[in-house]
Amino acid sequence: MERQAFLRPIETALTAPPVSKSHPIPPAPAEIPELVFIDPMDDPITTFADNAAGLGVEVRFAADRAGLVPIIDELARNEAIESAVLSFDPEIEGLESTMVALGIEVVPFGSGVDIAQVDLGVTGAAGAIARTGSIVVDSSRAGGRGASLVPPVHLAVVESAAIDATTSDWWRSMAERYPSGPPSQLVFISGPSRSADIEQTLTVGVHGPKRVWVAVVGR
Amino acid sequence: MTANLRSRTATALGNPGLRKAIRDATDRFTTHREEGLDLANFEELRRAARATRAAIIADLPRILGTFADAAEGVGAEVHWAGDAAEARAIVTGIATAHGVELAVKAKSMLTEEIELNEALETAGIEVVETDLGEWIIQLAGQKPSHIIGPSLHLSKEDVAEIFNRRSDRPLPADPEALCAFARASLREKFLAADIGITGCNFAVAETGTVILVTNEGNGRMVTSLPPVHVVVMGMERIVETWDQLDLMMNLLPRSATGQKLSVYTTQVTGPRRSGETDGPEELHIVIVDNGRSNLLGTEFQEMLNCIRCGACLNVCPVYRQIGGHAYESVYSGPMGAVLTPLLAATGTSLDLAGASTLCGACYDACPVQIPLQDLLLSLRRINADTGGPAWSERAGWKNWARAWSRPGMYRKTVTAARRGSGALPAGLVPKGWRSGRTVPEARGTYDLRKALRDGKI
Repeated sequence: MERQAFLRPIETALTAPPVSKSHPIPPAPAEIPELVFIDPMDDPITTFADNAAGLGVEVRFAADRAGLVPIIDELARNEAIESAVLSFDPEIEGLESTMVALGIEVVPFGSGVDIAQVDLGVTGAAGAIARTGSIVVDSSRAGGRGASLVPPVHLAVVESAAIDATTSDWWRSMAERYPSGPPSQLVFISGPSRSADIEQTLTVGVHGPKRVWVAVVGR
Repeated sequence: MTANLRSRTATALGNPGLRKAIRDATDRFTTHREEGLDLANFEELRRAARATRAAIIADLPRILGTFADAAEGVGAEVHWAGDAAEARAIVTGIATAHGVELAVKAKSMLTEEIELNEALETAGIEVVETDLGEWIIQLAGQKPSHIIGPSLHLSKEDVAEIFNRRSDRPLPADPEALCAFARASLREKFLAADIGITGCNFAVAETGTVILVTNEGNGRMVTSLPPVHVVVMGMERIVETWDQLDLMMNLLPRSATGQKLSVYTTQVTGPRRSGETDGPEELHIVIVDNGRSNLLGTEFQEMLNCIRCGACLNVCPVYRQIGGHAYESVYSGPMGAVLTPLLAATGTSLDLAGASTLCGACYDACPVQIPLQDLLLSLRRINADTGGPAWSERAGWKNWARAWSRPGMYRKTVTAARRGSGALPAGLVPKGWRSGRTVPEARGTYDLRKALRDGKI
């Protein structure tokens, strides 16, 4: 049906005010209250690393981009990586030659079918959220969605300066972060894929990556 | 399933395996919710969420209009479906127009509500549920028994048996092995699918964004790999601003599973853009009423504030005993007992309001503070007014109310009851009440005045 035909009966129904006899509804707050946490947080970077590790993420630190080489080397050996796909995020610019030098075949970033057999997806992260241990992956800067999703192992590189405290630092400043609107897909990733659908037993690696590594650069 | 709530309840109560599975699962959800709580001002946030949701629903036409304009502005196509049949026709129409043979779906209670899978299958399309729990019950030919954990009534042995019907090699009753089988089987489907169908946890009106919350990553797969993405969205599943989204998203996973955030919070704004290697070329958003507007302007309007976390199911003493299937509706537990008859608007399922002790545990657990026990009570009243209980029961309550409105009659009936109760033979207690209960022995009554006089207090 047309939009107006759908909305008109709703408008009509709403002219009668709702009745809540025993629990009157207060008016909406002018501002949404800030999140207040029980535990204090000294340093977002440490909190991020602790929370991400608690979700099963392998967190590593590098002073600068050059410090990524031993991390990738460790990852490649631990996870038996032979091939990788790289997104177009600025944090991993120039990393292709590092991968090749480590003997890893670099597959061009293409459709899901193109990268279905690749061992490792490498992306940057537009940011990270300390309180939830999440990284923020943005399809517009990554150049697509599959690199952080299709391969069984995901490595994300995030600048330490891009680690914020809470989700509010992202969601309550979307207009400033994205003046011309959000990207086609923005994802907050909090650890490896998991399920508890069989007898509530935590099982890791259902559809998304089974293993997630995050390299924090710049500390 | 059997005809009425009473016999369905009896069936569920007679299945100790089912009761244990439900009790274990709901206990775990509740323990995680309570232990995971890291917010000091959770109560303040709940109050704000209730008021915010109520204000959004009261302004729904404008906010839906803003959303549709913004979504169309980034290249999505917005469709409006008044009822289930129209929603099915729209989605099936999109699929057939693209020559779709295989559809992959992320978990969506709304698509269960509108029975979308059956419609797509009738149109010759293979439909595969990709949430692990949903896939299990799809293969078993069952319905979800919990809005968050659709297969929580099944044991790992049950799942192994269901999977072994399709597996080349026998699978053990081990969650990890079963999960690996699902991963491999469904990966093929993701890569081959012509269309991805999802629900919508929230829409953000100001930017036309659709938010999907998943742990497994199937929500990302379904919205990233197939060339067409269809979102089926309940018309109330919306906030106006990202500030409001932040509030809701800090309540939803914490109330559902005790997670601070689900593993994947996917935020979709339009189809793929130029320069992107993947993502759907087309994004369709189907906004569905299907009885929701029945609630507007009534005492039940607040039910549309529900954010589908499932916390009320987990704490409900009735749900915890009988599970979701006894409700025989897509939505179960306290929220289901309220929502189901209201969406139907035909007087059906009103008996579900009886599946409650009115203890208010649901209200305490609800992140948007819906006074579910009040709504259940109102539905019972409607059920009584429309001739639910037998005339003898109604007459009994009426006489009781009349008697106890007068002090003289009150004293007489109490005295009579005190004397009579000792002489009441067990055989006089109705058989239906006696089965499964022990008739208490009469022990005389406690006389407060006598105790005071004798100095015992």
